[in-house]
Amino acid sequence: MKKEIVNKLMNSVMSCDVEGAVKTAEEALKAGVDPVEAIEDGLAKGIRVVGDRFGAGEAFLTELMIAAQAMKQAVAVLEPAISKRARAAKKTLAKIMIGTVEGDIHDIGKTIVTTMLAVEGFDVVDLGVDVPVETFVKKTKELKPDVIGMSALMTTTMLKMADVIKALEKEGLRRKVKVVVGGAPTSKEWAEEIGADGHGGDAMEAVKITKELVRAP
Amino acid sequence: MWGFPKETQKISFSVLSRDDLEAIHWATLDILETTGIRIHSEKCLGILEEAGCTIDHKNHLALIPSHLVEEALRKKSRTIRLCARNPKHDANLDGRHVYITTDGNGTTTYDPNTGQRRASIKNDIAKSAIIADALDEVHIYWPMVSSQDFPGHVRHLHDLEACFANTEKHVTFETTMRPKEALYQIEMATAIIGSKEELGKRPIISSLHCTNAPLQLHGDCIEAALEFAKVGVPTMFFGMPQPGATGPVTLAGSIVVNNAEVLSCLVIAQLAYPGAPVIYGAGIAAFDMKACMRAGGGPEHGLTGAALGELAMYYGMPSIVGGFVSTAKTPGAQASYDKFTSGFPQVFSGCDMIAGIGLLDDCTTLQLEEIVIDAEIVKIIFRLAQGIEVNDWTLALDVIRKVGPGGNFLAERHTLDYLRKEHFIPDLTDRRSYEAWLKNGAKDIVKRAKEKVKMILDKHRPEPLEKDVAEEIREIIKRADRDLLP
Repeated sequence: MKKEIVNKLMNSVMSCDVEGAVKTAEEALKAGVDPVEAIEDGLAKGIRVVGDRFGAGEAFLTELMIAAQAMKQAVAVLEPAISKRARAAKKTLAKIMIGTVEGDIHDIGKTIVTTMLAVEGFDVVDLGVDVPVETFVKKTKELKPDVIGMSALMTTTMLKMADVIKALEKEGLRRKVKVVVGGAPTSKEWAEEIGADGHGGDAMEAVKITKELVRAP
Repeated sequence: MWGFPKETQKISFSVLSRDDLEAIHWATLDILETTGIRIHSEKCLGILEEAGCTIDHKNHLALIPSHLVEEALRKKSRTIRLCARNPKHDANLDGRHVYITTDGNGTTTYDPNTGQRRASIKNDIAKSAIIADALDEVHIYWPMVSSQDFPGHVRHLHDLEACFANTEKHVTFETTMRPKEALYQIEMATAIIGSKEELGKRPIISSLHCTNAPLQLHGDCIEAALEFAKVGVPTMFFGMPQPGATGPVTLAGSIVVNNAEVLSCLVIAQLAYPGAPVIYGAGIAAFDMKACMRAGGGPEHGLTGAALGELAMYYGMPSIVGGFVSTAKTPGAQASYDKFTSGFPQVFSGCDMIAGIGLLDDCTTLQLEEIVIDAEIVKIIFRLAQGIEVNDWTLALDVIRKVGPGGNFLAERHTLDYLRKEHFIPDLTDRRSYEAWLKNGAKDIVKRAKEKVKMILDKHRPEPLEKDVAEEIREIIKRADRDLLP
């Protein structure tokens, strides 16, 4: 019975059924399924299947995004039921902080990368768009991320990436974080020029570079 | 197989106006009545003479009065069902669908292993038939090359055997130049379908017969067509005047020549076998005055194809027109733009069958990769023809309100529900980032097509013929080998 519910959670994520995932999560709590098990063996397993299918060119991005939505909303139902001890014991991959740089309100590429990192199991904090240099610095101090991701879609705004890196150096934070940049006008050469640690030519590569930088499996 | 239904085709155009069509029809009747057509067949001349045509036996010339043409147009059948070994692939030529046919009768193949050009062999037909069988964008298979590893008198029977063994789709061919050969082809199809009556009801083969521009018909070729008409196997009469050389340089003039040839075949077929299923055919490509070659795949080819499809529709006849042709020697930029140019007008005009995908060097050379590249081009053109649907669902006001300023539509159910209907989903077209493309081996379109060809040949297995049927077909060819020996 409990196993069935866990499978049902997996399937609802795989079939992009947001309502189904939420309903099943509620059902799981009522049936006394361990919420950590429900997330890890049900929801997370489902999203990994969709993620793999997307990586293999079989699934569409919209399927991955909806599946991630299903997972997120079901997790929101299950999370409050996780005990403090279990919460402390829960292993998380690295923490990522991501945002589109100042003067640039292009959201979509950054949002795709955010979702895909979350699918991979990273703890992702999305700072949004048009993020000032000072905010990147302030939030780095506050959240202590392992990786900072910066996005820009214009040659004029991508210059801000260099400013953020300079500001991190000035504050003595640069060595404590890895920096990945991405977005249409950026390139590997640009990343090297401004002293970033990695460059994502597309969302998939951004995720791959991030994983390499934090040595996640 | 339903072809591409025209109901979902929102964008269409006409190359010819109603007045143009009338003018072409009247001009053609004039030519048939006053200039006539040359037919090197006493049998056909006899049929026409008995019906009231004026015959000049010495010059093999027939003047066909207009009333006979009008009568033939009334007698012919309208909807023609091209059946398939597997009924799910039946192609119904009902004026409401567009079907894609492979190009046929090539003589040269780029060897899939060595990449070298060589004379075509039976195995090339087998391989290309498997690929055509696997592709949703291909509805009818025409043996793409000839089995030149077999002697001439049975070569085309081997072609047909390779088709039957490697595709479940309808097979059309254009190779029958002797009435006796037709009988063996009918027998081979009968081995599969059961009886001759059944073959008339479910024709799993059809036969295309070319005319000889200007205004001539090859006697044996047309007599062979009559053998097919006799048992109810659909025949196609296909004109190929080359504007400037074997037709007037003007496209309208060459259309008249084409029409006179095809309509005279129709008259003969309807006089011999009233109601015989006849498909109107045309492949008019200009004659290139510098290269001294046919300009297959040029813009004139696309325009005339669409025009002849419209003329056939005006007559209430299904059409087969050339299209997706190229004179390029290898896949690549020219092949792709030629094929696009000479394919999309026929789709927009709603021709019933468009034949041409897969061959290069003006319908002579097979490269397996070109079949899958052309299938992608076909898919793109059909997406264009589908146009933009505007209704409550597609206007998507609810979703726009829900997402609001600054959000995105990626995680919306509406996106998933309409994605496949609204977007062309590429198969071979490269849209990845430069880095991703580079990392994947920086493959050009031909390399990507090669991978798809390999995947199809590794995985796709059409239903084989039943053992005793395959054996019977081999026996028929053996008998023909002795009988047809020149």
